[in-house]
Amino acid sequence: MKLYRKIGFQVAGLFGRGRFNSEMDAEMRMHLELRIERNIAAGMSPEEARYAALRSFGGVEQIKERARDQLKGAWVAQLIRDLRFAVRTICAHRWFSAAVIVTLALGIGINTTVFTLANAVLFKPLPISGGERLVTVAGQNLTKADSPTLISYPDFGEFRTQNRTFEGLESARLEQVALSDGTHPPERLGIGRISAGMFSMLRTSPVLGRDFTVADDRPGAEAVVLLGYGVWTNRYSSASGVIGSSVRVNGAPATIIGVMPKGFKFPKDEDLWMPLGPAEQFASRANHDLWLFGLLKRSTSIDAARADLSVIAARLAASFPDTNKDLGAIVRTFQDTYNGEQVRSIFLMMLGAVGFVLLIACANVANMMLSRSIGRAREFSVRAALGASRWQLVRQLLVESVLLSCLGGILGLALATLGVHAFDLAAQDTGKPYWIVFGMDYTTFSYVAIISVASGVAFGLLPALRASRIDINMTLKADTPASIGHRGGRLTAALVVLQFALTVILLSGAGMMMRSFLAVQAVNPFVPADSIFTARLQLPAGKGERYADSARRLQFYDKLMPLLEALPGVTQAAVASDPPGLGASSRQIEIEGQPNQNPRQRPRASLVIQSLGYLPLIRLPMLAGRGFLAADGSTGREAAVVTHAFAAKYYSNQPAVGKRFRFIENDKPGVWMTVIGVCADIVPDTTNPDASPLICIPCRQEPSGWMSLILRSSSDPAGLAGPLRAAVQSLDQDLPLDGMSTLTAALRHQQWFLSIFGTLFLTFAATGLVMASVGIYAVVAQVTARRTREIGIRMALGATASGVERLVLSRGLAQLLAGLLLGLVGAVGTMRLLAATGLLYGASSNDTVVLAGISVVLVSVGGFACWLPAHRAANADPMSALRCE
Amino acid sequence: MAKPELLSGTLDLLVLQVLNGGPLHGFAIAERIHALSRDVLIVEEGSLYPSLYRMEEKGWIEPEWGQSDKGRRAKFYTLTKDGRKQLASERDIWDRVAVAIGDVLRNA
Repeated sequence: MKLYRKIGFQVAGLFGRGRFNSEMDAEMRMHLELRIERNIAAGMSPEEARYAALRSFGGVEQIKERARDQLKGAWVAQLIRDLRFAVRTICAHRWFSAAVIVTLALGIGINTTVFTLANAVLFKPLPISGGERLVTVAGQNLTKADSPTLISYPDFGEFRTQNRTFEGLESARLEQVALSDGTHPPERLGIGRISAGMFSMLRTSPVLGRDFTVADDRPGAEAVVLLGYGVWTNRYSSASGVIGSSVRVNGAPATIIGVMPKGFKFPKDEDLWMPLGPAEQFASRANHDLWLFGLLKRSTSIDAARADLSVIAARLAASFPDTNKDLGAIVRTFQDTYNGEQVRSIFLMMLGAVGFVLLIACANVANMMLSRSIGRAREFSVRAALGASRWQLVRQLLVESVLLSCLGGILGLALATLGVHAFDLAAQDTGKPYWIVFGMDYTTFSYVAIISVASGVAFGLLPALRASRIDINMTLKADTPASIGHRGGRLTAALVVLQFALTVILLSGAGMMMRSFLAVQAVNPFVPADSIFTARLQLPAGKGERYADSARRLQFYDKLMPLLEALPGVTQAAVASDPPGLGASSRQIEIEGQPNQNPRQRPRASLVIQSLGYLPLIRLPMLAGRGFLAADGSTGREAAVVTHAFAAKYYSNQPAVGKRFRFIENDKPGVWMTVIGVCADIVPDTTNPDASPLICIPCRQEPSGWMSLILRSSSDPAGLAGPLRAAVQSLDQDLPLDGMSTLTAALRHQQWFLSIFGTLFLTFAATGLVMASVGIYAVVAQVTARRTREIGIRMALGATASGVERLVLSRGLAQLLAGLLLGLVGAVGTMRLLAATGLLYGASSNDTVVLAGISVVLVSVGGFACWLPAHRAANADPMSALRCE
Repeated sequence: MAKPELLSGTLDLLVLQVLNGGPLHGFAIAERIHALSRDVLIVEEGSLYPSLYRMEEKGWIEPEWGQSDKGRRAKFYTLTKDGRKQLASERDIWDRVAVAIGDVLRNA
């Protein structure tokens, strides 16, 4: 075929008119004429010959259409035609289209938001080149399947030199240190003491100054420190002169040699870095205190690395049975290391939940399309009569629904942008790893595109298939809009039931979270959290540091207490290892007379170390015995106050006061302590509902270096920050205070997880509930509208308004209840799943209160949505109802 | 006797074969097939024209407007080189299938 002609053909095919069309016309006309002549020659009358020819020919337009479809590029022409028509239809039914688009925008928007969050947390690699090859190495006792342990320095050396699968393997020791310099207030910061090759392995170099060299890591090298970008800007106002100046890290001098790039806080949330350096404890294989980070060689699988290191670990276990027996090596991706099972499961659960929201939205829109396609039955009949094939009708409807869902997707993307931004703000202060950045990227956009098209097909296909199956004669003859077929009614009902079932499941998740949130609020009701102010203090108590001697620490606290009590407005002051509700440490204990040799079965207790005055300050009621006296805790007078739960658990029915127990640390027993009093129960840690029962011991007995200052103030406690800092620094210049806030604020911050995710789940559930209710409203209203005449007749014949109401309502309510029952089954499963994650405080897997609450909410909201149209129908004037058609 | 329907895919073969004898217009093609099959095969217009346009698109046949025997303007289709190749291969396939089917019918 000649080129110009070919192009002409395609252009003609695109526009479906012009020369191509007229040629086709001429060809067909000639064909018809010849056929007529032949018929006349066979003896027919001219009239007869014409009809016979036309009959045998069939639909000229259809043949032309099918012929045109043979051309290349014809599908583009069809698509453009279908799109043009879809746009016209969408504009013509403006309100209907708006409702569909908004519903989808909500579904897609929520879905995209959560997808973006989950992607950022669970899947996106560290933003460095080769980030997807970054792994961590940890130790694990092969016989116990315990949680992973850190790695000893000598073992690190072996792994590093003997492995064949790593491009680089570096180590870090992570600590909290005090940074001070005489001009700014001291600050407590996270520090990574890293082996010298770490940053070059991560292909990240300082923006200012230089990286560590191997020389910095040698014994006797001058101490050097790299600053994080945040410290540099906030503390040193981005001054470049800071390089070379001297600071004190935990009181020891060090020189600043550089500043790391903005946002870089490797490995998790660190602000300072120093060389790992030689340290005494590094000599022993028994000291496991290093994190190992490695970059796999290109095209090396993580399994290969596992196998590689396991061989080395086995060799070590054979050579050093004393320290390395049964010690294996585990290799995990960087994300998996930092995302515990809980984080993973909560995000996967959220993905599931928003999947439900989108399903509800699609079911809703499918129902709307279905009911409208009944109104459009006549349009379809006419088009079918004019020769549209079933496939053409379905295609047209699908183009329409995909176009609608793409519009919804665009709006949804805007919603998601807002949602992700809001979440990012809410998660700012939660100590999330620095590499989790919540923002939109091309993955998000492709996700939106995919789910938009997919949901367009999902909600468009069923209504399209149904609409295209029409009996032309029946529809064209009927003078009223065709009534919904029996099967169509069933499909609509099934969609409504599905929506409510999914909503119930969403509500159960939200209900559990809310209940847990409320349960946390009600914890420790006797503590006057509003008037308590807390701050964290860490005395550098490591080997060779200023407070290494416990007498020094005790002396510090003894000097500090009167200063605290003298602060303006302060009525009571105390120090304690943890403020009430914010945490507690845990120890193995031995009850006198009940020795237990198996370390894994020993009883445990939560522990709070506290100074005199702590128990009265938090208003913990004493149930038996007495509180602490100044002399308690000194040698020979070791004492403890235990909670009621502790007494009940370990002394069952006997009075606990006067009994003795002791700590067992590293299999070595401590001194015996005497129970001097029993106090009421208190929840030591609101994030850990399964903590063992609590005991309190005097600070004098075990002066920890890691303490919270707890002040009770008669005036606004928020004003205490400045005077408190001044008081502490009057004793020690280099001591930072952090986490200064009222106890109420600290408790709320501790609950960020519940409040953020609870809000999210509540949003999902509320969206689902509204959609499902609007859906059932629309369906009942539609049915009622179609039965207006019937209702009019019934009322004219004497039916009462309430009778009519019941008639209309019953169907809607039946669907609602079916959805509820189905949903409750799913809800029980969901609750079991949620409870099993251990994320929710006080969550039980079979919370009947939540289930009952859901049922009430669902029935009242859904019931109202059904009742509204029913009520309107029942109160209509029978005369106007009869005349309506 | 029921009206025998063309096996799917064979229409193209027949059209190509008929055009092998020289250029023809659509109506003549239908007529020729009808006649050559001793009035057994009826080519419906609804199948013929889509088939013609498809083969034109593939470059097997080439249309040209000319005068019909009665002086009417008509669109004549001519077999191209590609069309001849296509005809040969389709004939070859058809022959083998026909023999195969015949064997089955005879021997089963």
